[in-house]
Amino acid sequence: MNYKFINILNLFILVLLLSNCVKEFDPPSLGYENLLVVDAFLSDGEEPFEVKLSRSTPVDTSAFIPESGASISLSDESEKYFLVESDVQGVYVYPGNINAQIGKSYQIHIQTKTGNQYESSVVAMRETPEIDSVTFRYEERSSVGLTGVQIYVNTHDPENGTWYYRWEWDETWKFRTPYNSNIYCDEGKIKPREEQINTCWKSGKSTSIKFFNSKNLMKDIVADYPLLYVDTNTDRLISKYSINVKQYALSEESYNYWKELQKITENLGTLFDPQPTIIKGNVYNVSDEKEIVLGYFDASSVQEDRIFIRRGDLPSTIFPNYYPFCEDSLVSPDRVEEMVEQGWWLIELQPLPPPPVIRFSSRYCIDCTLDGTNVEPDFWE
Amino acid sequence: MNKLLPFIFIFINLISTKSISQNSDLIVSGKYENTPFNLFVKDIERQIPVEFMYHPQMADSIYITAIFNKESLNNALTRVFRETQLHFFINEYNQIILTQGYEIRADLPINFFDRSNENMIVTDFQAFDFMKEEEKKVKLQNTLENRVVEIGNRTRLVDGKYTNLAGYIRDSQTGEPLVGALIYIDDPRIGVATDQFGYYSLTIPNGEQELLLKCIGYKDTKRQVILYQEGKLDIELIEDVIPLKEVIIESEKDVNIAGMQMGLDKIDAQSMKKVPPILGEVDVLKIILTLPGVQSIGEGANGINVRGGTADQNLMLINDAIVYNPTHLFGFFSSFNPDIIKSVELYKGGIPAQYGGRISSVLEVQTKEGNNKKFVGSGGISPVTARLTFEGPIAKDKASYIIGARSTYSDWILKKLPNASLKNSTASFYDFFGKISYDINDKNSIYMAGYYSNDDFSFNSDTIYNYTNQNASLQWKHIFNNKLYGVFSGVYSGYNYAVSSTKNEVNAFDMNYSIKNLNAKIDFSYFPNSKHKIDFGISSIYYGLEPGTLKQNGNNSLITDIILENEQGLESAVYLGDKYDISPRLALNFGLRYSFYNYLGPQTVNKYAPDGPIEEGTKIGETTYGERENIQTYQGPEIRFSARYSMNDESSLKLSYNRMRQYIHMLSNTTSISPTDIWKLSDTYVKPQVGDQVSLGIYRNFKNNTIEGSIEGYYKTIEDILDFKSGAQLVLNDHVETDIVSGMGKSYGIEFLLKKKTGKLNGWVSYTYSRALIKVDGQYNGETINNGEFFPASYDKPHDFTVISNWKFSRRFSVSGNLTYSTGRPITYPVAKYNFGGTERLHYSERNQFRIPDYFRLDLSISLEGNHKVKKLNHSSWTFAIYNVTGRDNAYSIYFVSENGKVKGYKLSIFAEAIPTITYNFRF
Repeated sequence: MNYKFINILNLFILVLLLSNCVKEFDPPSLGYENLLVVDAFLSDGEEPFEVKLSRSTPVDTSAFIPESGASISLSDESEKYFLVESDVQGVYVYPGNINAQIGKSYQIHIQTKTGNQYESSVVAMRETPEIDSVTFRYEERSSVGLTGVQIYVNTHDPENGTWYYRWEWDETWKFRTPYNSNIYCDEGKIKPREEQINTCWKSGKSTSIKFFNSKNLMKDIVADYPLLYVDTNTDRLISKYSINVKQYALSEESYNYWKELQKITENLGTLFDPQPTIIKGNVYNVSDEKEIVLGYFDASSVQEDRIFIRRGDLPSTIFPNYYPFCEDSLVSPDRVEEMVEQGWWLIELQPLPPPPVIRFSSRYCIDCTLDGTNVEPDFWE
Repeated sequence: MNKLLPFIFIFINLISTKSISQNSDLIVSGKYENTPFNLFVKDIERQIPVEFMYHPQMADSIYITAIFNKESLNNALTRVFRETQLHFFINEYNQIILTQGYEIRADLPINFFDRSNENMIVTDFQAFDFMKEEEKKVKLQNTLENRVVEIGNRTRLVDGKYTNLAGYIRDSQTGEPLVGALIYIDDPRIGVATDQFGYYSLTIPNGEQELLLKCIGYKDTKRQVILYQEGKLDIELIEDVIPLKEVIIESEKDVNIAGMQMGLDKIDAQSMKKVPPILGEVDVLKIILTLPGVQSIGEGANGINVRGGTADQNLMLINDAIVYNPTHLFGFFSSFNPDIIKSVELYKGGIPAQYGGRISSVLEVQTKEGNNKKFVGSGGISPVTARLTFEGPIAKDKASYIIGARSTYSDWILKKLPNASLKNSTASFYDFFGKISYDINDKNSIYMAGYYSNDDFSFNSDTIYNYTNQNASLQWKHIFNNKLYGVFSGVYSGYNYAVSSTKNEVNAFDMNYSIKNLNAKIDFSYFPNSKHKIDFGISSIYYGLEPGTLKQNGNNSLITDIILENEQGLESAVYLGDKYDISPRLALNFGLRYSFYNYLGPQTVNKYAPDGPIEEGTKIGETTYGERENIQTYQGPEIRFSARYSMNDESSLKLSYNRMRQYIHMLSNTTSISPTDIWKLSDTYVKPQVGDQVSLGIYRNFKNNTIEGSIEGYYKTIEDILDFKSGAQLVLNDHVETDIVSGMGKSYGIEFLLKKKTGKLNGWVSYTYSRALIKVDGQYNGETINNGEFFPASYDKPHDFTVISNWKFSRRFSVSGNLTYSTGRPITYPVAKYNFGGTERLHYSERNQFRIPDYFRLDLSISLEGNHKVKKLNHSSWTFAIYNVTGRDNAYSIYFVSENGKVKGYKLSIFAEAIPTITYNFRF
């Protein structure tokens, strides 16, 4: 059970009085602290075990500073698994299969290039109950003037032993540009287009932290947890949308970690902001308890569930329109080169009525590969 | 002296109804060369049957050189006085009255008033009506001022002995007692101020005395008494409406010089009206914020910080009842209806012994008493609220009532907001106030008051919030004798909030929190002689808290009910304070309050391993205590001391020290307090907070006491201030002690204030330099903030400059302005950015090491009063106000959030634009 009294209260006030009063602020860097960041998650699945090591950066920069040259190992009660640094700097991978098991305890050990020793707490791998269902409902958000689909997740633990949950997701959606182009111009010559660039797929990952605890319920049940709201102002619902929800069981400690992280990095900007504090993960410098290490090491099985939302699942009165500015124009064939030089793309030859003309539009309205891929993902149905 | 002049004119007019004609018959002759004035007078008096009346001082430096050869007296005197400051007036009894600086005219009063109103539009008959009305009052007052009242039995007079005189000072129109009115005699200078009931007890020498009276907002007056024996004298004062601009009566408003108190700010209803309203509401708490030494987190933030104290360290009282949440709409409006407020007093330092329980300040809202002479009503309409107040006598001059209500209709505004927001949301509030005052007889009075405020709001028809304050008080005042009276009070206060949600059937819940207290107290005031005023009393407060319940809401809810154990506490105190006037120059006020506190069962108290941190992991057991069993006791003396030394009539020096103990604390881990924050009693683990403050002030009045200046410096320390561990869970937590750490606070500052209370242009200018620092240096891991060093509190704003001014162009038209500048408040700023789980996150470490931009705001308002015709059915006024005229987007906070994987910084402003409002007020 998650009490978000204050957040709701804040949102309310925000909308009430501050609608125009939030301005972007470019943060200057102050008192930069260069800290080790550990990002490690162990699952019982087939995927190779991976640890990302990096350094924190000043607030005003966006560079990723990998921590390379470290030696990392994972230990369970009996064995030690040594990771190797992959081609990507700062990413360390176990080359084999750890075959991690639920109930077993794991710990990571890190020695950085400079010789500092770090250890995580000992984490017992938890079993994640199956997702009962991922559902969605068409909902209007009058408070923000949006229409869209609210996606919910439902789960329960028949053993009543999980209580703490977290979700991530991958979303993929098929979309179409307004114009299906079948010709293009190649050195002044109009050629038929072989590759289709009208329908593409885009994908994304969750970036916000979603968690719930059922500790205050009589049964370990998560009913209709609102995961995310997909609104019609994006291109997600133009054609077909799919979301793959991943469910993780958390311990009370990791739940608190995620909760605090969410509170101070996603939940500010209200009248009653929480006081930002240091968020302690579960990785420590062996010889200096006071050194702050960012990040967390956790271990659990993962449950996944994928659903599809079709255009037809939305009310017929709702037209997701991501391309409101697309227009086409008809130009006589002798001006093709001039148009192409100006950056216009050809859509088609329009034979009727004579004389023939060519339809043009901007690339943005034609080429879906600009920000997607025209290769259908293998899970697509 | 000159302030009394109009009275003198009228007085003279009363007895000299006919103008005189016999002046011309009086002929004088003589030759004077450098003749002292008194000899000249004697010579004239010898020649003709006249009598000179003058103060010898007026003329002691005047020498006459003149030759009169059978000249008329008039001509002679005109010549003699031509070169001097003196004027003469000959009445029908052939008395020659000399005045200095002013002329007495025979053709008063009509011409006098005409003359004084040259600028008035002649057709302003309403004003003329008003004048006549005023004139009548003044006449009445004059008779009272000069009539000699004999008190006691003449035969009992013992010369040279001191005798006590006591009574009430009231408003002549409404019968309302006046608080803080000064009554004194000049020689020897002995005086007192009336208490909260308008009662005074004055011990002065027997015999003929002139009692002088002063009260802010009222005309100065005096009474002639011959005191034979102990007795009573009730006095009514006339409100100083200043209708005629030439008759502005400047009184010696020297309360701040002669008074004992320091660190006290008083705002009365009059001055409240002079501050530009916010969203159409005159808001006491917002005005309090303009005073030196008072800060807040930011605009619209709930809670005030007085001299570096936290928001829960203010004792807010209305009719002696504690108000736990003094705001509506999360802090945007104060929950005190301005129409029922008589005055507001804020004690920042030198807190008298009768108050206790909070460390930083006492904010006492004095409510009006009903008009005991006639029925009146008043009200107002602003874009956000409507309010209505009625008052009137139940039994004329004996009993009265006042009821006031205020409600918002802001819902329609929510619906009208341009971005179609909040269609399903509501916000509403209302408050009620009622009071009955009954003077049973000379010795006994009873006061009954009740107050209720309520707030409801919901967001998207999902979660519904509600919070209410409930207060009731019953007071009986009994006068034992002139020198001793007592007030017996029973007071109830309560606060509760509820949150309920039904959107998700499985998680549907009802959550409740409540705090109630019952306070029984007896306060005595004893006036043994002219040099001492002794206050003493006892008080006991019983607290009952329901720290939180969570219950299922609906049949399908799976919520496990959580009911935290109730908490009980008893806070008791005895106190004694003696104000001792050692000499006219030096006065001391020594007070001692001894408070003791019991945390009472039934309760289950968690036990933790000794010599270790208090954490869930170190819990070793529980102890169960039975009904009313004492679990923990805290006690201690609280010394209150202040001293005043008057250097002269215009300046004084004051020093004070006070210690305060606080047994109830607010738990809030947000920077600004919210309605859903909870109060917690001191228990086995939560120690009482103890605050010590020393302050020193210099007070000086300028320009005939019309301008008050003061400089006050203070240094304050607070022990066991509460702070919270990272990730603290404060609501519905039955082991909240594991999430709490204690620290210490330190604050100091210097406050400069210049205040002009009267005249066309009035208001104040204040500048404060202050620091508020906190140190949290716990023994164990997670109990330290900023490495145990002092860090600035969230409300630490070193520079603070405020100007409040009001310019009265005419009786009906005035303009007010409010200008505020302060240093931006500190915030906790991120020191590093990192990538975790594919998203950028921020790392915060040192608390409050960055400041948001400085704050600046200018507000203006224009008040238009309706006409002043006395007999008019209702009086009305319009106020047009613009909040934040310059439209500056002052930062409320600067914050960072991770959005779509990236960190983004934002500046949040509240009221970032100029906000105009119109308010309509009426009286009938």
